[in-house]
Amino acid sequence: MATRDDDADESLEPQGWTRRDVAISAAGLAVFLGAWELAVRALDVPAVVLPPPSSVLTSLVSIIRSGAVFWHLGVTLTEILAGFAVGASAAFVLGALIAQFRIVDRLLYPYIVAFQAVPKVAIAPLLVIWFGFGLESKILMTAVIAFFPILVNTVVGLRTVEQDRIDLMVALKASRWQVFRYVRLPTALPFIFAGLDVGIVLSVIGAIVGEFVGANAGLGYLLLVYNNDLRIAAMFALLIILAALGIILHGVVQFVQRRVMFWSAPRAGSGGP
Amino acid sequence: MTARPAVAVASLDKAYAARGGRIQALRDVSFDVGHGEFVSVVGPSGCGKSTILKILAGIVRKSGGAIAVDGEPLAGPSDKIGIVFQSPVLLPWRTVYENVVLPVEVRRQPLAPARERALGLIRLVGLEGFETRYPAELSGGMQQRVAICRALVTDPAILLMDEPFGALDAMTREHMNLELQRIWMESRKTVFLITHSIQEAVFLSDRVIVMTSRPGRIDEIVPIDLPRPRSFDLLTDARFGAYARHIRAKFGSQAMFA
Repeated sequence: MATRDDDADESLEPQGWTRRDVAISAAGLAVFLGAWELAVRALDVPAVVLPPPSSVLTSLVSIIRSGAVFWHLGVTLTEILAGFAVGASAAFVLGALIAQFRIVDRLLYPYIVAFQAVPKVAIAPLLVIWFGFGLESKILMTAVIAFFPILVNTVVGLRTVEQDRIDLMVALKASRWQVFRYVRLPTALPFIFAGLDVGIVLSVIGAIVGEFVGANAGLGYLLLVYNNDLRIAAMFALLIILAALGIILHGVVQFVQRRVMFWSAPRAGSGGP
Repeated sequence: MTARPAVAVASLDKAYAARGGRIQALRDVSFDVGHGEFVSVVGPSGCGKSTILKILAGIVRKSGGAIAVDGEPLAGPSDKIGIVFQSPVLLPWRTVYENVVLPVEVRRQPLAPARERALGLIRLVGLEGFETRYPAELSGGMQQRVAICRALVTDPAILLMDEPFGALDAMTREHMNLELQRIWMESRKTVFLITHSIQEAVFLSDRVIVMTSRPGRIDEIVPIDLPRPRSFDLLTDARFGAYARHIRAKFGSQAMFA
């Protein structure tokens, strides 16, 4: 009997996290951090090599208290958001043109794919030479790195349309633009959002790499400064801030996706198949 | 009845280029459909019956022959024709009402007068109260009824249906057959129905076009002389059985029909 009840619960809530699941997850983290703390202390590892979690936490608190980090966070966030906006817009427009017009596809797509083989990080120094130490080079770096996954997903998504839907629109004498607007674009949204989701996380990388190469502000710049000063605990604290930033941005994209693609969310009390 | 039929198909040919040569899908297919008439096409899989419908809908090009709708040669998709596909093909991001008025929007016709008509059709198919629901909230039969409303919203004279109830369970399908007969009798449309069910074809049609396969050709056109409105009591009627047997016999003992 108990088994049957368990099965029923599982079918009602297939992916949900129970309180027990959260406890297991939290316990795992606590054990990991505890082992790290103990190992560092027991083996007497110098703080410049690997600081214990306790001093990382102290460092994080003092960095946030002093407020200095927020200016740099603002700079990096500006680069991420502006770069993501530029990269995503360019990827969407180009992707739509490539998916819609064969000539654009043949003219550009092979070269865009070939360009993707170039490690984007390797062109960061060039961007600094061309666009200077300011925001522009970082925004471009971010845009270039976020561009590709969004482009590919847009192209694939716009081409993955059921023939029936196209037939319906053809029978209604729909123009190419109407087919795009009424059918192709909404059908492609899950793909496009998958691209945006990858793109936003890559944007964080783009901004940090851009700052590594040449900058006087931003979290990436701050990482290098702490590195030079051998403030390793503070570097770990910055990594935590960067991870949190990435998770929040990813969450924002998912939130927007759920709002825009309301129809694909499972509906409570739905009327069955 | 005028001399001009709603649909006149003369010597229709369709060949596809395929690996290893051409495939003749339709050869010398000729038939007329009168105004307000209900005509069905039955035939084995691959006899090209769906191809005829897609050509009439302007989705597929013909290779030869002539088609006239209301006396005018058919060139591409026509405003006089509405289509129901095998699957409902509703847009999941649009409500029932928004799906029904899609043809009005796409054809850039004014929405205000279409609104009353759309709501009337939704009432006609028994979906009143579901106007603001999304397709995912509806059953298969309900979705197909929405698709029928969408086909009728621009008030086309001719309704093309491509195995519209093929994906439904037997009970829902019988119910939908009655619904379709009612909608047809109330709206007086010309209906051209593709089906693989002999029973459905005999039950609904004024005439049944029987096709053979490879290449698709018309074997016989069978007039169904049974009184209207028809109910399912008719299924046990001797005349109904005779029509069904006659059509089934066209395909010999081969189990080509489900």
